[in-house]
Amino acid sequence: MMYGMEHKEGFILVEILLGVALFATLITAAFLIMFLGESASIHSGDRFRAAFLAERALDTARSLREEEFLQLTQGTHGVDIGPEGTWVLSGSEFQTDDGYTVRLAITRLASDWASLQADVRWDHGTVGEGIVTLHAEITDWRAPVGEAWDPSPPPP
Amino acid sequence: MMLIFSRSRGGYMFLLNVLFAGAVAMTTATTLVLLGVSVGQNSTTNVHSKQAYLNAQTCIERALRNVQTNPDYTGDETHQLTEGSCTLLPVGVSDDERIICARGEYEDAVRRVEMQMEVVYPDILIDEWRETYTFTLCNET
Repeated sequence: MMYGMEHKEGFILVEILLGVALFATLITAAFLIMFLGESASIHSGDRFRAAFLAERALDTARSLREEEFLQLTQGTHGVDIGPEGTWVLSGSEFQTDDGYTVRLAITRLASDWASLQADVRWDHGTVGEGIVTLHAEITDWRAPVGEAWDPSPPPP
Repeated sequence: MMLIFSRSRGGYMFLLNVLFAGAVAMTTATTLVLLGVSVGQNSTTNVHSKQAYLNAQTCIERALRNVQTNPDYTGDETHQLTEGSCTLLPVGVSDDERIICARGEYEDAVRRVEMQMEVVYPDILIDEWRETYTFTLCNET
């Protein structure tokens, strides 16, 4: 009878150890998976923000185009708000308070035609660096060119 | 005997509780991962969509430049761009009125922009410039 009781108590101990090990394994796996999911969500949020900043950099170029196309000088620029409260090209890059680096590369394809590339980079911790790039082209289509022409079809 | 039976039953209950808690934790974690993946796809689609829209705008800009320098510009061309492509539909011409429709594509994203304008030298007067789901001013085949 005593032998049976010791045997049963040992069996209970094994059950408890097995249960604790299983519990620890499941919880560890659950936390790792949750960490991955959270990391993916954070990274996605960062990409949304970066895409917004890249779009804003391109809008800055459009804004400058509206004022004077010649302001779009070839090279890599940062974008910032000038003393008059308008967008200006400033330095070679712009660093936001929350750690994004914005670069606007302007390539002049012609006197009235420019290619734009907005790069936004950010540090994503252990995953590495994130980057979002958007491309666009703008033209100075408001500038008058050539001689006057009659847009109506020629007479038969 | 009752004591031993009671302890053994307690062990089973503990094991069942562990399995139950583990299942809840794993379900929660899996849900979060699926959520993360969905949000990731969302952000990627967002970037692709923005680039497709910019491609459509690029085609519009090129068309405006061409119309400005050449009144007989007909459009109907596809441009391969740095990221993706854009297609200009044939320019609609009626006296001094021009209709330009552009479709921008990048990966699986497609955006459409159409515009109507009057070309009165030396100015281009924009009547409409909008994004549409399907073209209303042009026929897309």
